[in-house]
Amino acid sequence: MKRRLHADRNSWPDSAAGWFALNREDEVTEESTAAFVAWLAAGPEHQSEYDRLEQTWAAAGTLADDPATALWIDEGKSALRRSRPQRRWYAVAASLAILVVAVGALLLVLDDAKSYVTNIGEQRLVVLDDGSYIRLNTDTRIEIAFTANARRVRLPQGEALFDVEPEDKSRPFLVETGDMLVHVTGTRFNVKRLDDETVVEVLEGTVDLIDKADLGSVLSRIGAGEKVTVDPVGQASNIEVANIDRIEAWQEGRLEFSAASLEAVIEEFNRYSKTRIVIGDPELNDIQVSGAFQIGRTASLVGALEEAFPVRAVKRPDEFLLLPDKT
Amino acid sequence: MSRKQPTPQAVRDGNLTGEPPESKAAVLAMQRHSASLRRFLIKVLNSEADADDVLQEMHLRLIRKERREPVAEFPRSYMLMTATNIIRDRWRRQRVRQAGLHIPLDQLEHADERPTADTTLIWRQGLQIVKSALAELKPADRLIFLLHRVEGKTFREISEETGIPLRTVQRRASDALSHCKARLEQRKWFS
Repeated sequence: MKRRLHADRNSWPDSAAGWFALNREDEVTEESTAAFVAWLAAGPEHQSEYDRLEQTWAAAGTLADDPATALWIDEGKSALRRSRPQRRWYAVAASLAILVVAVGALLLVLDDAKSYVTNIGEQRLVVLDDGSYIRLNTDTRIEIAFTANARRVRLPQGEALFDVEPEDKSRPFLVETGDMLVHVTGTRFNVKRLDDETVVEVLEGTVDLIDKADLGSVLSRIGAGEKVTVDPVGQASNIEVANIDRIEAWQEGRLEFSAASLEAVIEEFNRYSKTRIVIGDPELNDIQVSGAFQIGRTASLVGALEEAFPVRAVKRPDEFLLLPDKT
Repeated sequence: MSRKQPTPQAVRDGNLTGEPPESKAAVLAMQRHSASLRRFLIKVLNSEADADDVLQEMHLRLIRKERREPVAEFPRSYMLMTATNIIRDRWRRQRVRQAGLHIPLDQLEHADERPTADTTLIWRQGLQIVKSALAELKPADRLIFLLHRVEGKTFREISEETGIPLRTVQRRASDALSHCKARLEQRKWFS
């Protein structure tokens, strides 16, 4: 059977774009060429329309290097698989049963992301297939889906330090958190998502922050030593200075503070421990605290606070209540 | 290491190394197809002289193409496409001459292909506009376009993969391209 794309010439192609599409297929014949030349000759506007389509096509050429493209293709393909579950079954029945079953199963596995979770006070190192690794901080959940088009990691909650193999240029490394997409062009960076706020800090290389609702543009490019905070409504801050010491410290199980408010210190400390510290009187909030503490050693922090400041701690089930020491 | 100066003829043929040309596939294709192509072109263009000019130019382009990358064989459909490209270039030049317009060098087929800082910026802007145009499409239509443009899939392959009829795939892909073009026009991207 001879397959022709221009079988019914009356209805197709009926436009410059239609001709462009037809000529893109390697099935042009003398017949279609003659018709195309006649169409071009019919008016100079046909020719310039066609020229512009050609330039549009060229402008779309660098899409291949773009993270938004990878995500679009990836999501498009999995939506396709979801919407056509019966197709796989037909394919199995129709031909090459074993091969198709194998491929079908593979797609299914890729579709299901692998999850890694840490509980409060836990940390965990996850090594990825491409040699990248992710260190999960306390109370964190990530989902990893490596597909043919992209290396995707979701971080719905918590904090993680990424050390990414940038070599695999054909598959961009994308971290999705909240409404944001972090496209990794550099190597080492930290993402923290707590209470609907996202903080991205870069230690080495650069990453691009992209709003998922507008894949077309880069919200900000974050370089080494820089930080951007995205608030719960998706507003990105200006570039700020990253707190590299804090990131290096949590890797080593330490928390470091320099003239931080007691409120901030307690909030940070509580991320790592089921035994919570509760400030019982707002007048304590603004006490300035400096120093390095071991993650999870709640009792030792409480002891240090009692020694250094006019506070006393009341031990209750699962928490320490901090009160002003009026004595 | 000294390099032989290319002759003007070699430059015209795209042979800048000064080495003797290797263009077996081009020569073979012209031997095999030029007589029938000539008849075809005379019929289409209604002029023997124009048909001969197009054939001359085609020979050159095939040689250049083969110089850039090894070619096992030039299929007839490739030669037909090359012919339409040559015809379009000729008509474009005519159009420009008639309108007395200046044509930017980078729009001519054989202009220097090295991107300058300016052209890089222009293409980057074009990409941005194309991306926001694609963002406006329905995901399924966008996927068809991207599978074709980025993954290099043919419409037939896309049709088989998605279960969407071939003609619909073609139409959606070309509608997507038209939409991108319309946005580029709106943003006055075309010079």
